Amino acid sequence: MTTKVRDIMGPAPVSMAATAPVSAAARAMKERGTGTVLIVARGRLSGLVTDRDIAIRVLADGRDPATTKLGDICSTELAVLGPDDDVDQAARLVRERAVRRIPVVDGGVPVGVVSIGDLALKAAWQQERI
Amino acid sequence: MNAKVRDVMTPGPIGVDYHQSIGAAARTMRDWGVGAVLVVSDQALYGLVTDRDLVVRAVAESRGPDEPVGPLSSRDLVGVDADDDACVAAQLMREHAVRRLPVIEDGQVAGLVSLADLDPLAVPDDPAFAGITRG
Repeated sequence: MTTKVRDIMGPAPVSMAATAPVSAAARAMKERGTGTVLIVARGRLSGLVTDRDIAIRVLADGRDPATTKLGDICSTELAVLGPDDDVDQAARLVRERAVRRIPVVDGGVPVGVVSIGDLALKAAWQQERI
Repeated sequence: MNAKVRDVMTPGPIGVDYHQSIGAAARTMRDWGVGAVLVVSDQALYGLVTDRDLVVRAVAESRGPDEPVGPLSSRDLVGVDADDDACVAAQLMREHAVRRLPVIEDGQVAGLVSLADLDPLAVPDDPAFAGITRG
């Protein structure tokens, strides 16, 4: 049986507007236990900010997290998956695009996220149950 | 043949001093292209700090970039031997719910291995990843 993205994806990450400050995204990442905040415009995915983006593009550059906007640091060239894509496709995208997390969208609307951790850990757990 | 930890680890771990600033630690991660650095205090291994730690333990807590990075560290690290199979590293990560392990060789820290290093497609013969490579 082929495993689908919907079988291993995590819940849709927190969504924020591009005008929200980086500090708000950092607090959301802490409170929600996530490393990804999606940037949405009118409900549709337009960008993505990771915890690493904040470390590298804000802290390392000496920018102020309270005044820097998410829109100034987010990635907009996104690889995305659909919930019915094969997990193989997810693994391929993670490697080809050298990204750690891929948003899952259904008709442009974010419905989940797949991380490289999901891919490796789910595989290990599955193996243990067999 | 199963991949060994030494084959997948990032060798030559990068260290920062406990008293270096949070901003300096972020620049070290950026300049070396790594997501975690070891934290050294009085020439001894003190802990490990990740890019995420800088965000959830500093930015989210309104700690400024000039504060020392040391207090953000994770302590009580779990190590893995460089000659162990990569699947041993995966098991240790699962048991201890951590994503990174210092790699020990001849009593020294020789590298770091992270969950992301355990690429499921790069170790197709590894039983820990059989579920995913069968697709």
